Amino acid sequence: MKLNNKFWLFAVVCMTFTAAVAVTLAVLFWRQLNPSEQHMLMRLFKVQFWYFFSTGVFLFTAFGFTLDWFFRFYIIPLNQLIEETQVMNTVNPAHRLKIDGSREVQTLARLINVSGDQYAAAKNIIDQTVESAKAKTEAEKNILATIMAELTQGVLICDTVGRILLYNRQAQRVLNKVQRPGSAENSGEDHDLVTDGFVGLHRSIYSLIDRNLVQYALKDIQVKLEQKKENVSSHFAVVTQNRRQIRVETLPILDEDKRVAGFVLIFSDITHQLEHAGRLNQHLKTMAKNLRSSIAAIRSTVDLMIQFPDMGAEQKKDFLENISAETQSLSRLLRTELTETIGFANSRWPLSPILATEFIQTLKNEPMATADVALDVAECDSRCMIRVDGYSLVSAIGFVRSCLKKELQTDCSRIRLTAPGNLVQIDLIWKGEPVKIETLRQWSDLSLTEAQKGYPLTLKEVLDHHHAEIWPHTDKTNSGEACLRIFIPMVQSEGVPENIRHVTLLPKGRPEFYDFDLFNQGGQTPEMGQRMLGELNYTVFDTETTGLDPRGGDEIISIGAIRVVNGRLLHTETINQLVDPCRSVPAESIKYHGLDDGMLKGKPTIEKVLPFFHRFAQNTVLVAHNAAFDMRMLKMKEKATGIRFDNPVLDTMHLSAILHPAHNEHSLDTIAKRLGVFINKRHDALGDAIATGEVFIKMISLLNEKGIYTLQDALTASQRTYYAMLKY
Amino acid sequence: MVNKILIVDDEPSITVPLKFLMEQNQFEVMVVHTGEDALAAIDHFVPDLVLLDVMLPTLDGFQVCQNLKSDPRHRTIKVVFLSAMTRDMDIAKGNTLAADAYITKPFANADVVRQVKDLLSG
Repeated sequence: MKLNNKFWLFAVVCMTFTAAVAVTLAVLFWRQLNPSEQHMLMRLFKVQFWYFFSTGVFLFTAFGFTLDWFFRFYIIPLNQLIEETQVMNTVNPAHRLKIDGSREVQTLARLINVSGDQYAAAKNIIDQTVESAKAKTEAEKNILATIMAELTQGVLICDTVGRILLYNRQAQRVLNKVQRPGSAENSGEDHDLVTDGFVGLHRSIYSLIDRNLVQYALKDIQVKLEQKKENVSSHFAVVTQNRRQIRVETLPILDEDKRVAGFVLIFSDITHQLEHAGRLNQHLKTMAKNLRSSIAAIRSTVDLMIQFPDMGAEQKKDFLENISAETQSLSRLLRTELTETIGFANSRWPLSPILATEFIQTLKNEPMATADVALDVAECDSRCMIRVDGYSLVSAIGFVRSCLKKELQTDCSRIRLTAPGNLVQIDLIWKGEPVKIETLRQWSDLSLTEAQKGYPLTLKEVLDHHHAEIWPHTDKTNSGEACLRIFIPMVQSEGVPENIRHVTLLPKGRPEFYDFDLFNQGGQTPEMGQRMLGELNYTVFDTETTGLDPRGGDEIISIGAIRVVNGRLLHTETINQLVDPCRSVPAESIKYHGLDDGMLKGKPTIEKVLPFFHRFAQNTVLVAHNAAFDMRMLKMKEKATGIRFDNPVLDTMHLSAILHPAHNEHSLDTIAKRLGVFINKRHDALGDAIATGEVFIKMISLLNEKGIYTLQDALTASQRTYYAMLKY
Repeated sequence: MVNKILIVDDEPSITVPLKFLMEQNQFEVMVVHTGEDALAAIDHFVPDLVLLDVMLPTLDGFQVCQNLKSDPRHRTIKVVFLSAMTRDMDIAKGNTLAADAYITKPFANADVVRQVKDLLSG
């Protein structure tokens, strides 16, 4: 009930009670008088009517004013005191009471503020102790999250019913079939809309991968478990919409009783690998076919010549020409196809492309390789690229230098880089005797460990990984200089870079993309209303519009949304979508949200955006501030899009009115300030949705204190508020 | 004066026709089948040019070339590699050892003869 109504109810009750007492006393008094006294009193009352009337009016007015004064200086401030003290005690300990009221109430507020300060100081000490204890655990969690994020494979963990409990970015990248890079940074708006499911906590894996595939793998695992096989993993393959071929490895998660509690899916993009194998296979097939044809022709011709030695000269000439042609064909085959096939078959050691000159420059920072050595790159084309495993190649150069010192008592004085043809040459030059090939071969079989502790590869192995070789150079000019030359194949700089790794920052707080607590979560039952508020999944959203009149033709121009799972905002699961309203945006509304016609033209229309948002919000409770307005905007598009939002809806404005009935202000800014929530981007759809989400999460504990535990409790209480009567 | 050619290859199927080819082109020819025999033959046969296979048992063609070119007495002897190793890297290795030419197998007889004559006339 609004406070004004409460006042009038209170006043009427007081007046009625007072009047009833007065009348009762008057009646009792009247009955005690004898008739003459009654007559005399009546005469006196008639004669002095105006005197009695004025006194009565005065007393009544005085009573009214006293009541108002008492209400404004005691009742209202005490109510506010109670509500704000609750805020201090629960979600915002930094909140301090600023109550207008009687001196006593103000003194009480001051005392509560002092207690608040003392409580805050004590809490601060306790928090610090708790924080330092938690920090270690949190750091470990973050390391796990960072490792997960940095894995080249996608990893996704599900419970037995297929709900996602953990995923990393690679899994998100692979499975969100049309990529939306940077969606976490709210830049998803310029990309095509996703046409299928989403990777997200508590969402079903079966909206992303065919249920039959996963079930088949799980059955396979079950059989292997029963047979007590060592390797119980199962594999299947999926192809994404953008034709990436993904190998999926399924592994079970067993509980302490060895029962399946969930499963892990590991995704590897094998598109490159398959293409590579396909090309190799094709080359081998072509080679085999051509070799067989040529050899068959030569063999047949030669056999004929042996069988018929007396054949005519003309015939013999034709046969010889045939043999000659086939041998030429074989020569060509060996020159081209075989060389290319060898190239395909080369090992795929992890090498990174780098400019040859840059690699030589990096040697400067490696004393073991280049101490007291002049670096000469003048003769090398600065665009030449090589693929290297920098550490091992630098170690190899250092190792060669140490061999020179140890075995030849010499050291290279200059490292020269040249690039004739298709090879890059790194020359280690010194004055003195050259190294014999046999000596070099002995060095090649030695482990680099001698120079580099803990590096067990031999010089030959390191060079082989680079498809490189080291070779002595014989000087024709007799300058007295000797040289060891490392050949490294040059690579085309135009090539498509593989496995681009983006820098990942260590997350500050608990990362959103896993939540092991969900292992203990109950199923998503139809009795959603009976579920605890803290357990439910929410989609907190906000819309920006051309104006405030949905029925008068105002349109949505932006939708922002964020998911809340297990009482946490998931900043990686957001929508921030601009919408082309197909009409102009009035200047007075641009002032608020800053979105003008130019920014909206060409963006998806509401007919495309609503189905997308509908899928995003599936199986969740919708939350918005002043939801009646946003829901009306969505309702207006029901007919055009065929999309109906039948999710339960909670409104933070209603919830605020439930929690703080003594306050008249329930705007998002006021509530946020009251609950200690900072709004980053006001009047930005996603910014407002995030702020609403934070406010909502804080409200859940306050609602619980008021005995509102379930969704149904919250909906029922909301319906009783004055704001629930607002219509758009 | 007749130029002398030393053919070093462990495959008779190569050396037989090659010897025939060189003799047909008026060269004096000697054939050996190992690297060690090649180094020994150079001292007494003193060839003008060596047709040298790379893949030889024990001492390989690259080592023979390095020995030859690092010995001031024999540095002027032309060395032509005849090899089934055809990668750019293999050819570069031959050139790095100061070989005068690198011919890949299989080869055309005419190309070998032209290359030999060019080197001996230059």
